[in-house]
Amino acid sequence: MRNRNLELIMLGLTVTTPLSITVKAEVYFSEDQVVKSIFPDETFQSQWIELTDAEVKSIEEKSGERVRDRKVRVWKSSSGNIVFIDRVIGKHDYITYAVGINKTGKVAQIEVMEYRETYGEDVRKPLWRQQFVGKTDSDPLKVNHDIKNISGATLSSTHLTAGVRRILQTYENVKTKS
Amino acid sequence: MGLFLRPLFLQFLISATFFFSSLCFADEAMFGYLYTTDTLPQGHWEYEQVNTLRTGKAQGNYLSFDLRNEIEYGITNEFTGSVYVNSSYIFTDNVYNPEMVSMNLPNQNGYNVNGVSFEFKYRVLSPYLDPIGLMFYAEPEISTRDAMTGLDVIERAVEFRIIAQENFFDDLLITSANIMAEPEWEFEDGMASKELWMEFTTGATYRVHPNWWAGLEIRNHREFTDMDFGNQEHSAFFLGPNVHYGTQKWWATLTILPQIFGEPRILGIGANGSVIQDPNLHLGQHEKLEARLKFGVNI
Repeated sequence: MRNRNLELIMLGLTVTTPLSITVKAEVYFSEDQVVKSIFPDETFQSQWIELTDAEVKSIEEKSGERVRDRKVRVWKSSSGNIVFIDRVIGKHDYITYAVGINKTGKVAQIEVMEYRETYGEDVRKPLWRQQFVGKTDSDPLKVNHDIKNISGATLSSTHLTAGVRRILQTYENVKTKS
Repeated sequence: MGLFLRPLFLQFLISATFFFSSLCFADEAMFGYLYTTDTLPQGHWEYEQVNTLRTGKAQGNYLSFDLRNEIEYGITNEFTGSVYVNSSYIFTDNVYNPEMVSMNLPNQNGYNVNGVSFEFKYRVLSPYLDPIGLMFYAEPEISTRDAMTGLDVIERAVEFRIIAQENFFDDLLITSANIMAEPEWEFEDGMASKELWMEFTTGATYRVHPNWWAGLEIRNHREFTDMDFGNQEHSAFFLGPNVHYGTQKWWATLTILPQIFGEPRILGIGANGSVIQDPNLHLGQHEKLEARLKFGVNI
């Protein structure tokens, strides 16, 4: 009987051990920090912008991507530069990232703010992010076309690229909206 | 110390060692029985443990706890290789021998190593970049103990799989289908025999919450005597739910797979003179219930 109880305890521990481990979120930037990182010399104000049905439809048609959040988080400067705080689906959790767009509608830079995936830390590296600089809403923004894939993190690189494509279409709809 | 205690104790030690030493990330099995086309990135190692409980025969008490320890390595981003050690704890009490139901298996209560396997997976198409994911899989295996009966036997087999995967809704829904063929050559008590196992497995899983997935798997296993498609020995269907939890550091998957339909249902006259049968299931080479817990971490 004693052995049987020990067996049950050990079986329970074996099953529950993995569930007892907690994983710390990998947060690399706050919103303030990421805005300063992309546009260091300017002052920005944050705001939420709600997309209308017509805007959602237009963005989805032009980008080919579904709009999951109708409320858009933006930081705007008086000169017309905008930073979008957005998220896309990762393998396990959302990937939060920022897209800085200058007043001419070109991507100034992107930054990954929160990343909790098993592989694919390379999406945070400057070499990969640099590919987005200068892109506009008329660029294809497709992995293996104008954006390189990251082997072992194809889902992350594909979803981030699609996210930037959607944000560039969102920019056209919200740049003059307050 | 009971025999059942030893493998569990070993298993617990392995689990504790891996989890508490803060090893980094893991590749993931989203299903218990079904394979997807994911591979381990080049240069990464993974430890994976597969625990399968099988129980429920038409007569007597039968329980098998199969323990598979695996080390996997990403040779390239598309090609993964691994080695397994297969073992089982088997408990039998007044259970018929599925190969000859007129005789009972010896009553057993013990753990032993069954054999080793090597696994090679090559991904041809990625579900994230191509219209469909496609992978080819081969697993040569040699065993000195039958995982079903616990009897000494020399088995050589090669399992081949074609794995297809399609994702939907921004990869929140994963669907997969596998076709498996496994020719097997067996030597027991000086007698040689050959069989062919065929299996079709399919399923879907959906990310219901960050880190959590839930879905269904369906599996049909068939066996052909003498590798002759006209000589089907049995067929069994299994259907059940799966739950997967995955993080940056580790993952675990649980699948419960009861048999829902099988044939033949009448296996013959048992050692005590009664007919060995079940109204709906094939309980010769299979059981009423299978449950599988997998977990993995990268080394």
